[in-house]
Amino acid sequence: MEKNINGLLAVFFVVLTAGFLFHRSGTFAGSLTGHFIGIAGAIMMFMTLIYPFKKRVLGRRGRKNPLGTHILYGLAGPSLVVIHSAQKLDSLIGQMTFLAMVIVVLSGIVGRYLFRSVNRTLKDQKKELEVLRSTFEKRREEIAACEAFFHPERAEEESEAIDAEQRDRCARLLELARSISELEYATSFFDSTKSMFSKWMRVHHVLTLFLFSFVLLHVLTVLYYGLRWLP
Amino acid sequence: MKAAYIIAVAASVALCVWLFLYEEAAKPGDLSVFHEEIDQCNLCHRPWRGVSDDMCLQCHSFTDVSFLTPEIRFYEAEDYCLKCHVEHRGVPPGDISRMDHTLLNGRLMCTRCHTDVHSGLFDSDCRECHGIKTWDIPGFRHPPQDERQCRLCHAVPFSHEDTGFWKKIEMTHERKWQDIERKDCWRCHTTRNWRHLIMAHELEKVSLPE
Repeated sequence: MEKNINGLLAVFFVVLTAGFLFHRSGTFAGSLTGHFIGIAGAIMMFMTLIYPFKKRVLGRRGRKNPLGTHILYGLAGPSLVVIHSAQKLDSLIGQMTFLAMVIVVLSGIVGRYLFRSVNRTLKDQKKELEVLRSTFEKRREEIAACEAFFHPERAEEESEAIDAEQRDRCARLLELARSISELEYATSFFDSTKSMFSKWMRVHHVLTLFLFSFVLLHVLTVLYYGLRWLP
Repeated sequence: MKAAYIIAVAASVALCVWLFLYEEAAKPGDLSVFHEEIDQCNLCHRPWRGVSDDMCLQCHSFTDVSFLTPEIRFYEAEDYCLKCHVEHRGVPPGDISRMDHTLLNGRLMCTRCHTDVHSGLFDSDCRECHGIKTWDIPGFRHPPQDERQCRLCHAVPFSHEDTGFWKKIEMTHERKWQDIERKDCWRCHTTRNWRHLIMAHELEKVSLPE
């Protein structure tokens, strides 16, 4: 699945950019072949809606509703649509549809890679934090014994009371506490980043809404003004 | 957050309705010079039915073409104007005819429709060198000007057969040009472009008959 996604991602960008050099046609989009490619692309784009439908309406998450399929349709469909357009973007509706499509795909790519890496980092950090906290809890009773170590002003008077072994143990405890503190800070940072990405998800949804409205409008205007290959 | 989605839905619907009613938004390219005066889509497009021959015939009429041989009466074979004539192409301006040369009878002489710029020097089968997609010959490089072998490929145009043309040259150049061999194109023309001429001061370098 991962290989397919990366391959399709490359195909999308190659089709998007190389098309301007090798596949520019003023009549291809409206031809019979052009229309079939466009229809296939639009169908695939609409199939991306299966994922949010299963997730939100049917409540299927995880393996029952893999994100990979959503990404595959979300890249294959737009790639076909780019071929259908033959890089001819003269009508305002066509331009807006194309632009919305590219933005939605790019927002999806950003979400997929950044959101996933943030999520993974956050998961790892939380696991680590849990381990450190449980270790710290086990050694909580040692804190009282390290009172002199933690307060150097008092340490001068009671330094002789703490032996070298105890000093070492206290230093490790302090290091543990510092690690927990640092990790808590990092986790809160990634948590806020994650919440920012959940807002990004909404942006992705709103952009998708506009995209599908434009796609429907594009199809409607094509039918309204007549199909060129239909006498 | 639901309010944001509702606003987005309302905005997209409003935008789409406006775009649908604004005819210019669906225009897939500029009209050719022949139709540029048309400012209403429904003059050619019937809603949900598109452009039909009837719409074209509101303004155009076919003249009697029975004198033409059947193989070049394309419209009769296709019976649909849009098969060959395409609008909203924008570029090139003024060109609304799209010929599909692959549909043509292979035995049809190209010179029935095209002017033979070589004046018969290369026979009449243009396809042999040019193909049917473009006039450009792949890989062709024009021989250098110094070879002076223009006559092998280029014929003297009709304009240069006219004595009036040469008298005009005589007047402007103050030289006797009657003895110039008409096929010595290289005396005045460069290989860059037929219209690009060797100017008077450069002519001194070219050996001219006295």
